[in-house]
Amino acid sequence: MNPALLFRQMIANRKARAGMIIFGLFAVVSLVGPWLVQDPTAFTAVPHQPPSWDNWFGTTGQGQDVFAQTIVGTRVTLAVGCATGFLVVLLGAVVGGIAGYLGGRTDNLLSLLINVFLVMPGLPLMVVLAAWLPPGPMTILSVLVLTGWAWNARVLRAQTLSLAQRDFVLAAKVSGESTLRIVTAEILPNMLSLMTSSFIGATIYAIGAQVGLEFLGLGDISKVTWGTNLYWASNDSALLLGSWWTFVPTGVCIALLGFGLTLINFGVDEIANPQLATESRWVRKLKSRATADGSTPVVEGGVK
Amino acid sequence: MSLLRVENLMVDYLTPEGALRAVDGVSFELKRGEILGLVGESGSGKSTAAMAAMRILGPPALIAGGSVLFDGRDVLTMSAEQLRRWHWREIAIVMQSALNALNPVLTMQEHFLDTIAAHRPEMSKAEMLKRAAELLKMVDIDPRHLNSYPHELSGGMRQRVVIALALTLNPPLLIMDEPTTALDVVVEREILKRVLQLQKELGFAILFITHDLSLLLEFATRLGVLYAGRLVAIGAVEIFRQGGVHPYTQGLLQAVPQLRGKREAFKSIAGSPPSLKNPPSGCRFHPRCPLAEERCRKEQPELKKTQSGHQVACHVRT
Repeated sequence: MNPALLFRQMIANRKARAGMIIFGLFAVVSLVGPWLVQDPTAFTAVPHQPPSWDNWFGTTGQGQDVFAQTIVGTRVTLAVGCATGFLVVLLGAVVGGIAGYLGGRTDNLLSLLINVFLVMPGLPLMVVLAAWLPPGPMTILSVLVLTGWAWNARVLRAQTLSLAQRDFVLAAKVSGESTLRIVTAEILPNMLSLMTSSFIGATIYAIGAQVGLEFLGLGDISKVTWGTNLYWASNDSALLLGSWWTFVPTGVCIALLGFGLTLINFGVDEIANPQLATESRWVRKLKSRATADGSTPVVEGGVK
Repeated sequence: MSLLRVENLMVDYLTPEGALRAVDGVSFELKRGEILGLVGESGSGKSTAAMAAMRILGPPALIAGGSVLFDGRDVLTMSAEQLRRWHWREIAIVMQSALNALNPVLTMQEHFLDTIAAHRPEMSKAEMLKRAAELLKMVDIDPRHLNSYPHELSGGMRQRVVIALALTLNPPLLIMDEPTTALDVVVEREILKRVLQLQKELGFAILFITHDLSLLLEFATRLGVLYAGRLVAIGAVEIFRQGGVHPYTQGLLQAVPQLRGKREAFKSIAGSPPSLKNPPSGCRFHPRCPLAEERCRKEQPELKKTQSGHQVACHVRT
């Protein structure tokens, strides 16, 4: 499926459209937001103030504006999340694609590598690496890519393996196309929807993991991100003092972004497998009359 | 009383662009021990009609109207459990592709045991195995193949196994949906001969769906011709052997080579079948019909009896 067509279909799909609107909103905020709000690290007001006209989301224990922190935090969080998602899929596609297409000894070696990374317990490794390396967004990004690429490589290898057996790939080989061209022009486009959903899944995972690491204090706590916002909220005993406004906005943003991305994923799923879309439409139209047992439903007069 | 009576059946497919009527008011009946053939081009609704009458066509297909009676019972109001009991015991189907109908990881024996155990749980395993061997023999396959996997059998053998499976519970009606389309003519002939012998011995009725009109002319009792979701002609096979009445039937028959008689050039029907999204007005065959009149463009013809006792939906010929 070509990217332009995929995009057009995503706009036409309700779920994907809603997801893209949510994601787009966050993307715009992350791009221009930091210029529109005050300095999120400045001590501007009385600490621990609930939401008011001066500070829409209240103030932190350090007297910083929570609204500014939430807006500014979007940028690094989103950038690290998307970059991780992209790199994970890229690495997965390259390693998995080569392993699946070339097969033989190369496949054995690369599969071994993939399996080694798969059996390593990701979460503890992530914590140890993040604690050991100098703190900062780049560290978090590399740690997440390092611990997260293997699963995608495995999935994409399996898909390549099945595609590489198809007749059109054989035809391309016989007509003398280069390996690079076969992989990029014949095989990869057939995996576009799989890679898109892998990318979105990896991005959701990366945002969650990144926020988690930073919450544990393993990120650069001088930077403003959603994770460090939560870290500081916890550090300033937000729960003890009942200052819910220091962590709820960030939490809601994380949930909303995850929700938007998941919606896009559902949309991509329906586009890649049109039967899903027809089915959901069908269930909506017939409601209780839709049969789960696969027998032909009877609707006198049909549906419009 | 007829075994299967389908009255004014309408079947829709739900598509992203809206409902598409694939079967539009088809009626036919089938008596015990009779062989009814349904012919039509790809997309004419022949399989859809048969499978919807059996209620095995899942969403996005739906029955939008009409009635289906099996032995006096209303099929359209049957519950899932009733359908489950009815299928296979009283109505069985042989699908087109035997390779896809058989589970590649199960042996023949397991296929038979599964079926028998689901519908006749009171039978002992030894009895079931005996029945399975008997069924294989019925379709001329050595019972030693009970332990074979589908890939170890040839296409013709697989199709025979599927037929034997369909006959496992001695159903009074067997639907055969293009059972021999994937096979070569020699194998096709052998299998059909066997099926017809079995039909005489066991006395089941057959609803035979195919696009091969010449095949049906040889053994069907009655024939129905479908065009773009509508029945255009139905009646005893003799009339079809004599050349038919409906211009579409005649067109089909002229495209069948004759072994004996005068040498004639084949005639094909000009054009191609219409899209069901936007079917032609009036008689759906009028854009391709050599006899089309003004009336054919406007009025939809109903099935009417001709002098020969044959029903035809044509303004010109009735």
